Amino acid sequence: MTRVAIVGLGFVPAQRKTPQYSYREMTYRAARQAYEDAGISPKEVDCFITCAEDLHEGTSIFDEYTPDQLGAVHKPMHTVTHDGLVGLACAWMAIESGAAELVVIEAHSKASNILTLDDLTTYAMDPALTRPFSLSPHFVAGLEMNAFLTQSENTEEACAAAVVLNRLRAGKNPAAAYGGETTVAQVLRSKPLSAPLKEAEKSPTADGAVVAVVASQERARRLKGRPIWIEGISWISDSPSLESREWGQAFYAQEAAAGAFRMAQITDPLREVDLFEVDDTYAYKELQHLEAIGLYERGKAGRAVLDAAQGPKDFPVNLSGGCLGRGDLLEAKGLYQIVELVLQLRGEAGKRQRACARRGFALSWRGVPTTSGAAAVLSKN
Amino acid sequence: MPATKTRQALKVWGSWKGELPLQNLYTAGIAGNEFFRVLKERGELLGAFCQQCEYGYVPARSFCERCFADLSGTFKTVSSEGVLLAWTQCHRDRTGKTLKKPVWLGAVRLQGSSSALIHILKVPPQELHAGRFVRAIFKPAAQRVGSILDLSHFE
Repeated sequence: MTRVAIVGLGFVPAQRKTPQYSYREMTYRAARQAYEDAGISPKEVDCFITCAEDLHEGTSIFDEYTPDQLGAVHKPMHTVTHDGLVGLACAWMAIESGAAELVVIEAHSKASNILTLDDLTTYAMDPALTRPFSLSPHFVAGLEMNAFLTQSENTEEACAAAVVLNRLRAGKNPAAAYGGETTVAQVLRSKPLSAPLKEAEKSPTADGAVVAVVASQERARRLKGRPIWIEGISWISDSPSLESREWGQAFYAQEAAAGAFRMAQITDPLREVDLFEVDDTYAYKELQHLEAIGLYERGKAGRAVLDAAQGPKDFPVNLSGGCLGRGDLLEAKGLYQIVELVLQLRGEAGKRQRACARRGFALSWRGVPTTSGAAAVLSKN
Repeated sequence: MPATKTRQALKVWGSWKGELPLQNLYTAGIAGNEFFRVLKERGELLGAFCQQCEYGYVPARSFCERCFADLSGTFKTVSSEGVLLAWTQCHRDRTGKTLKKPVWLGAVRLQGSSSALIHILKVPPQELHAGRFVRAIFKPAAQRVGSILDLSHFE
């Protein structure tokens, strides 16, 4: 097996709305930045991948609309209908198989253009068993949060603390759209969405675009950039059915993380990994995912988040501000986690730089009503 | 960005409003057809059972998602009574609009099944706890049309 590295990165800082730019222009900006970072021309790239969903784009057969803004016209190009981390896995596979040496992966969000996101997400529900209730799809998160808190004995206060902490951290991240100060009491007082889930515990959407250049070891050595190596990558789906999934448990996170750690030969993540970007699309998900990936025992993640929110603590989780602070960037969520890891591992994370960051971990989740997750371990060496 | 500024920005920066008028048929399939027929005609819930996994699915399914076995010969009705696994109080409708009256939903494991049926819950909030006994209330036969809403709620 060859080693595979991220050799170039470009991104548009997450923003609440981007009325001035089309998605093509945002992606173009990110692509120019990534190619310059890697020191390549798109003509050298063997294969391009976009992660996008037709209904989020408002355009059917959206994969036909992806090549030009990447410089991929007349080049092999395909779309993966999944989170960006799965796209990264596809890039990794293309290189490991020997089919490509240099691959470009792109994901973007133009969420501010989606005028009926809740309704659209309802169309991801079973048409016969679930849609007839005509309720907001966030009920799936409310139901799961209830099951998770009941089973793990974590508290609503701890979930609210994740909002406080991540929004505070996002204030140090120029690429985050929702940095700011709030309190546990304010979060708990926010409007109920699907109780026990509150409005403030749901990541607000944001716009943005990320482009990454991925290369084989041999190709990476011939490029000017500092490679960040993909040591482990894994993705998995649990039961798609609301009826037969295990409520309260994030099996997909457990298995995706286990696969990535195994591949990276990591046996003690807390000691061997320096920072973690863990999906927090809803606040309780951060706690649930931290326990599922084995960082904390069942019921212990909440205490750690509460402590971290109350003062300076060594809690290297979602230093970027996560989805709660950066914004929910739809299919680009996972690649924004990769942005944070790459910046940290290169020592380019500015005010939020973690000292001696050598290895980082990302876990993405595709959102309600899915049970699909992906995990990656990146290393500077 | 405040809403007024957003509106101003949208006036400066052009955009076009469009829609995708999608309509589909969703085939119930053999298992789905049987589940909804039994629900409509008898006011009962039909499950399927995987002997190898010792797992009971409600609604009935044609195959086991765990071991991939064919379950088409295993359909049988289950009890309309079960226990509550999880619950939530929904405050928004499918479009995101706030509901005038919130709706409770529950995940219920029926006796004889292993899965959870998600449906409307009418239990006093102070009585909600994991493991609480609940039972399905069906609409009168004349009002049943072969929909999941033929099951009115759990109480």
